[in-house]
Amino acid sequence: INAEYMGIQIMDLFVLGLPTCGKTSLTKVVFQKLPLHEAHSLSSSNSVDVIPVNNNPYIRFNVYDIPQCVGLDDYCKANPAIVQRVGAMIYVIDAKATPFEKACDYFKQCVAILLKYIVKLNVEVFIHKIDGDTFTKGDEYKLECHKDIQNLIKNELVNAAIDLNVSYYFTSIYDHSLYDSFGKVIQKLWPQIHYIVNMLDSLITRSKIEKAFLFDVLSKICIAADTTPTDPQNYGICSDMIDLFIDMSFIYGRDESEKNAFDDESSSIIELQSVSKTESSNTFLMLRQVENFIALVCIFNEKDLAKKGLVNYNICLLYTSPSPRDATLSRMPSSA
Amino acid sequence: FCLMIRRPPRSTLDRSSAASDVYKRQVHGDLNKMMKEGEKNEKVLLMGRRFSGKTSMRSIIFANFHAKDTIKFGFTMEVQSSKVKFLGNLYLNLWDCGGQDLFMEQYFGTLREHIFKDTAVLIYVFDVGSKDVEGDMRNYENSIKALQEFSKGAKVFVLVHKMDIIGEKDKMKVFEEKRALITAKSGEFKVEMFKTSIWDETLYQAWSKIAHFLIPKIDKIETGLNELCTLCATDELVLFEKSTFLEICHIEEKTHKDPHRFEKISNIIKQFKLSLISTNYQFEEMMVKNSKFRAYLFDFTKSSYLMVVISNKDVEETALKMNIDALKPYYEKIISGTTQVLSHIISF
Repeated sequence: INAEYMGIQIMDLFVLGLPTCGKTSLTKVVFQKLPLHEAHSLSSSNSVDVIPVNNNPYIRFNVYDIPQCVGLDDYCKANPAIVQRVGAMIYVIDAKATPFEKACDYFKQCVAILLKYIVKLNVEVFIHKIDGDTFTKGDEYKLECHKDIQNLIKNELVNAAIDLNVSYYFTSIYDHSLYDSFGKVIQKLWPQIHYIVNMLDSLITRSKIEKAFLFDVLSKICIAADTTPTDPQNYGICSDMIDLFIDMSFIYGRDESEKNAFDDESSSIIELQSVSKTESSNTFLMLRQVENFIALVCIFNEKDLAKKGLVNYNICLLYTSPSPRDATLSRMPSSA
Repeated sequence: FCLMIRRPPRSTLDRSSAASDVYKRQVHGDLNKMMKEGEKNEKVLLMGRRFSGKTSMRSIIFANFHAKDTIKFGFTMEVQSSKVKFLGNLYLNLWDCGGQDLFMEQYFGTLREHIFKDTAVLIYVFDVGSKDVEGDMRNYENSIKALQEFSKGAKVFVLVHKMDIIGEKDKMKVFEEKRALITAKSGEFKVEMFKTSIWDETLYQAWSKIAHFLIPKIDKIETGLNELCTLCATDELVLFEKSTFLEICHIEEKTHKDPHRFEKISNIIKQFKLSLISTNYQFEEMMVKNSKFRAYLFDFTKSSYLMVVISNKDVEETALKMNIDALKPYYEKIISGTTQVLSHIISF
């Protein structure tokens, strides 16, 4: 993949929200592998924390965790270069901290300030801390929260005469929802996403794969997926497989001095048996490294396993195609 | 005076569905009736003061609970006994003795003989964050005295639990302090101590050693695996028990720098299996590789998994699988206790 063309840095992310809503814990859990049980003992941030994500030349961006005590306006005035690079604002709302008026008020202030400096801004709202008994017992409470927050925000924006599309995501550090949401946010910012999605689509049709995802293995964010409908269960299994793979590779697959074990030949196959009575064949999960820290994870059925060699070949082509523009679909040999 | 093992009253059931699930999973009844022919039963006492973490540990290892779900547990009502099948014909009678002071008085008093007789293993759990160290040590001393009276030959394991609340650099210091206190009160028993936490692999390390101790004829399994290792030119062979994923034994041809890797692997695979529980899938087999190694995890006997680690690029996967398949019945017999040897082994 042509480095010149693909090496555009993705726009940066600002993470904003009221104190103790969970900004620092969620950024650290996703990008710095903070163990979950330590997330509770984080102290309140009092300065801006910058996390650079730079595992791969094609996926590079910075995440800025900005606490409320650092005045956003002053920060933007003092760092114009940083603000120019921002593509999305992630506003985190603690779903357990009702009522939401204060959160939505600060949201409006943040949006107003950022729009002074940035023309095109994606606004994403993470309805966070969706875990615990109140939320697992049923979806009604979740939907109520969503409705409340959505209405409050709509009113705030209308009052401030701001016309903006806001996306909402439910997240929790304890399951895949957080990684899924970050994945969607990044996909919106990645200019080359359409080419990659097209390539994945042709890969799965010609290799008879059920579903394929491209993951960034360090942060477990899904950076691309083919266009067939995603079953959240399958997404979860693929994400867990990456954990399993990275941990095992870390134990056996590296020498003393190396810090990472994800190299050119990294791959894994996991066979799963379906418990439901209707399916008689087993399902396979296949993980294959395609770039530095980027892995392709596919799901397919046992009857198509014979095509394993073919899948590998197709993936090599995907990897070596000179640039997304030139990679025409006719290069993919079809499975006979 | 019969031992009162009964279902907890309504109030504890309402505490959380997770807690009542624990009780529902247990087999109540007269423990003597559980001994069937050919089965080996070992009584394991799990004791310690209230909230030291006994029920959480037991649920994570034997009942597929996730560490974060154990926070919901209420206290254990008196003694909860469960019969756990482990590796073929071995059954563990696990007595989870609730640690409320009221119950502990009964254990040392009226229920003394019933609790402490015929015990193979005593696992005593200390909460490292407990403020009443004197009370803890008193209870421990009483348990040791009672054990000495009724089961002189028992083995004692002490787990210093909840180590995650101690900072990394202080862990060894705190552990050694506890070790000094505990060895002083251990009477004639040679105690093996571990530091554990449900949040990392140390839990699996301790329970693996306990399981290791309880398995009869483990040396036979080891010699068998040694042969397999040399035949198939592998770097390492590890046998894991199927449902708990505790490491049973391992053969190392090539030395590895991390002695704690087995419990880490137990933890890793267990986490993956737990995440599959809510889906339609069940874990069968696995292969992981990079340029330096290949690791295979096969379904081995009815009650175990075999993990094979190879760094030699000449070993063919299909040949390896054929050899292992051919040897499965042989190992099935070893692990179930008999020692009939198959007349031939396919050599690599």
